[in-house]
Amino acid sequence: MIRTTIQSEILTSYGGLVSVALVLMLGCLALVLVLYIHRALAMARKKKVDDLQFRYQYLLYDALVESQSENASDNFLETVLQLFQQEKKRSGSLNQQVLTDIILNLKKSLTGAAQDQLLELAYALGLPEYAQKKLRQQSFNIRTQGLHEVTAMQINSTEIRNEIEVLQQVDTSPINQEVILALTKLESAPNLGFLNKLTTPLSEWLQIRLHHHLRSLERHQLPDFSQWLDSTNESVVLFALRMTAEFKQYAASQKVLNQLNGSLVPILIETIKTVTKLKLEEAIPSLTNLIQHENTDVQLASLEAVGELGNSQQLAKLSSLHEHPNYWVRRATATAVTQLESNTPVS
Amino acid sequence: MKEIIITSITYLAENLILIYGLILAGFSIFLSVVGLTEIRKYLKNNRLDDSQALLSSPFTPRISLIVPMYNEGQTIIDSVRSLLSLQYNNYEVIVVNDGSTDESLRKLIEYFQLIPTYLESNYELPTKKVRCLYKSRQKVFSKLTVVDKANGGKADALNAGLNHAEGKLVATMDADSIIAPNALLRMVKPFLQNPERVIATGSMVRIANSCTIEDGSLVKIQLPKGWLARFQALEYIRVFLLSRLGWSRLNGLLIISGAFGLFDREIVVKAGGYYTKTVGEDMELTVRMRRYMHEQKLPYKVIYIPDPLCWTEAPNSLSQLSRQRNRWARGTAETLIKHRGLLFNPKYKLMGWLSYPYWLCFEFLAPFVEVIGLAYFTTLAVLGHIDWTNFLFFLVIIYFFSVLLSLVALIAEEYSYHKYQHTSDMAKLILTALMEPIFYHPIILVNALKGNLDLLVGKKSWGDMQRRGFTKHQAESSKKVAG
Repeated sequence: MIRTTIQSEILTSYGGLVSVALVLMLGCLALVLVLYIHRALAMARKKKVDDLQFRYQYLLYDALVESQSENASDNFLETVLQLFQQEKKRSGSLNQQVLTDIILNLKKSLTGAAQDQLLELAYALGLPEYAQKKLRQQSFNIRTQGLHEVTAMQINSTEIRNEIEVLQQVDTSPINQEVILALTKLESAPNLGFLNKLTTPLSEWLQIRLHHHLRSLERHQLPDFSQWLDSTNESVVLFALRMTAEFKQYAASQKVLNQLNGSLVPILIETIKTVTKLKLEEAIPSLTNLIQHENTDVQLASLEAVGELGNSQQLAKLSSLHEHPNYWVRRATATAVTQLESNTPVS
Repeated sequence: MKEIIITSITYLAENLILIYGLILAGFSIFLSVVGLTEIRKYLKNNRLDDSQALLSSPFTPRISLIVPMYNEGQTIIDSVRSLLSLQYNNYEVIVVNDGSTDESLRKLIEYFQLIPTYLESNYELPTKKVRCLYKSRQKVFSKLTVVDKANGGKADALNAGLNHAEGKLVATMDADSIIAPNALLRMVKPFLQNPERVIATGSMVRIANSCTIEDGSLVKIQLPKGWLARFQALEYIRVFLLSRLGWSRLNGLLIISGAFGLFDREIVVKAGGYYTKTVGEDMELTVRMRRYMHEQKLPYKVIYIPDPLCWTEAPNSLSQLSRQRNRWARGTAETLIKHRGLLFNPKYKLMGWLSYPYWLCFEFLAPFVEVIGLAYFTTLAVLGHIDWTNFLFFLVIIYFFSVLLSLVALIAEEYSYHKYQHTSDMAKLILTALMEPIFYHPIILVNALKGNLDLLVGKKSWGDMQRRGFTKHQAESSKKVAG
């Protein structure tokens, strides 16, 4: 028989096939069960959290209303704490995560004294300790959440700072980034000293998040970013240039102008953008030379800068670029010429 | 002698098919495990919403969103309006009218008050003649540019969009796709976070049939009502949540879906833009961009994110589905043939050793192997050489293995985005998973074969897709796409 001679043992072994079929079938059944159980649990959990959120928000608003009434005690904090103590007695415990989320969300939309009161409430409810515990957890997820909460609640104790610094030694880039941000946010005057030691590129993402925090500070709290213009780390120089332009640090003008003599293309482009934002007209001679640069992106940035800063005296320098083979250079030239024609020469 | 020959052929056929099946199953399990791990990691890293910093930052890269349009008069106004209100502070929308014969362009001109500009056209990537570039006279629509050009196909329209894109990054999408308001915020993050150069990102594409759409935006998500669309909804969840995410983790992804993708413009242009002589221009471009990076010896990444950011209308009828799958099969075959030099070429590393061979063996050849298997089985059945008990067990194993993979994908969906929240949706999806191998798979198989046959006879056309349209332009408050 052909069949018996050609089929391997696995093919003829009914036992093996039955086992595989059974395992797969049971696997399917198990997955269906997991799906249903997970959905039931998730829905129950969601309902519980929604109920608690509603209840706690209600208590907070109730306290707010009560504090506005004529017979109210002067202390809003006392009123709220009293309400939450009653709630704790009623239900046995308070869900600290739900409370943290509510208070930190509310804090985002408040300012000044109201925000301070909310933070006092968080402290009185023991939420900082709850956030601090998360820093010691193994899970990256929980640690990150802890870092966010600690910074949002402005817990600036030496103990906390030490705990956060320990996390910096963990060799995972996402945690390191969160630690850098947390430490920067916790200082009243941001300490960007880490930039001096940074050997890896400062990611665009971290730059954006650092800038987001820095813009919330008073100008006098900001460091002099030009101190990092000499850094050997290209990304740090780029960050320093961007911040110099963004926070209009004119004192750094000469240092920025010196960067126009550099040869690194990304730094050159960022410097051109910086002199444009700072409106440094002293840069015009260098910029008119740079419009002939071999790199198209440098040319484009220079053309935009000359258009913004220059005047009709620079028009002649642009004439050769009308026939440039690159479409974007021709287009930028046309835009710059239009701008220059409308700019009056500075006498 | 005759018996020895028959024996040898039978032995080879039987064992080769068995080995092929086992390798395919092994790959599927491996990719599922990697995909699940990657979803978990992604959700963990993106759990906290930090989009506010990105939304208000002056340092976000400029994105040009290119929308090729051909006879989309039914939906284009709502689509563009929705695209102009995406959550991102530095982007432009470039609608490329690819020689529409309906009233699409006139509707755009009227609604957005477009006027011709005197800007010259760019032909850095060769395209059919650009007739005019339009901008709106209204400041509120300043992000919009309309490029009107002669008909040249989707790839040609995308190239025209690329030629006029000012952004460092370009997003491409289908005019009938709906993208989530936070789509650009999500898609740009890999470009900003990774130390290596990211050349492209893609996101999960979902089926919008039966969902409620208002003014070009998705307002209510529902599982498709029709069976055909529901099969596709399950298929998309499986493919995008497990397979593509798995390949992304390995940095071996060969396709960023044409429905929605974000690319590094410089690399797209240096690689030569979209190839206009294929119907699978999305896969072909991804492969060519990767080839370019390898040839220039530049480190890079192609990343897939599991966020469901793009919703598209799936074919509602068998004939539409047939045309779509026929086109996909031809596109895959054309790309694999064009880039055959990748096969086991050490220069291309993982792409040459794993991604390309996988696509060749398990995407392109799979329908052929399946047909050979069926023919072989029929022959044995006719000759009376089938051990029916054995056969039934094999059939049960294959069936439950396919169902198992779909259920794993549903678990991934349930633990991650949980988009179908109605209580009955779960039962419907499980039922779909049970029926898919019996009813849906044969349709896909036949059309994949037909696509390859069409390629052999030189068929090049896209085939029409009659869309119902997500919205009607009458004053309806709630509009639904027929499922």
